[in-house]
Amino acid sequence: MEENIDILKNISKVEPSDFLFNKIKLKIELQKQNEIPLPKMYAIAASVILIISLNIVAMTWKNNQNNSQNTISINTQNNFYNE
Amino acid sequence: MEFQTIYIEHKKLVFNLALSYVQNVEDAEEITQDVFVSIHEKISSFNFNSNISTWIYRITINKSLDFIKYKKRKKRFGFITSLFFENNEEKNIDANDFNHPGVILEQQETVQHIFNAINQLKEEQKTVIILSKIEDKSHKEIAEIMNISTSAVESLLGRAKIKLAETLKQNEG
Repeated sequence: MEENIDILKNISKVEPSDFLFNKIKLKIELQKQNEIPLPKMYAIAASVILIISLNIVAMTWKNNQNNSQNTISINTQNNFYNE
Repeated sequence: MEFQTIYIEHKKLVFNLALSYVQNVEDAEEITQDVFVSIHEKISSFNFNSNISTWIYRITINKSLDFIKYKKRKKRFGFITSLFFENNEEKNIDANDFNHPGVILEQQETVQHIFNAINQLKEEQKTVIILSKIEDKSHKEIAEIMNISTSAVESLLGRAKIKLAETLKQNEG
């Protein structure tokens, strides 16, 4: 068995393709372009939270206004003609 | 150290180690790309007092093992989709995947046979065999690369050889 595996020692080392470095550089460049910088990410997250909070405030305000318009006023006067 | 210098000095190491794991030029090139992208990302945090080759060995081993797992998953998914769809174009892609330019033609069949058995070993056993038999590393060097003790390397190597002998015998029979 040992001499069987030792055949692996005859495997010669291969030189990788010349184009490989350019491919790697391209991959690194692509990765840089796709990367969103951390401050930008914080800014996006903060604006999303701000928009959601403003929406909630606006909806609550609108609801309150609707409620005040819909309040039922009780008529205490007697509408029947006095006989 | 400049990235290009690291690439020039280690490209052969990375490519050939990856080739030992996947035995296919295209796949080894893909792994090599991933390894150097990862090196480029992490180079600023690397402590240059420690051995850069050991670090690159570790990255290459991890990327190679990840690649194999990814390919197995893809193959499994391909099999499942082939059960539902008629188009079986991808079915035979891996049938003749062995493409190792470092192996001489007369030994191609025997080496492929041994690699088939190596590919059935557990990840750690496979790594130990590759580092010891192909990369010609000493037990101490393997221990450093794999971050384990020398005695652990010896026991892994022993178990790997037994398993390999069994698989080779089974495949012959």
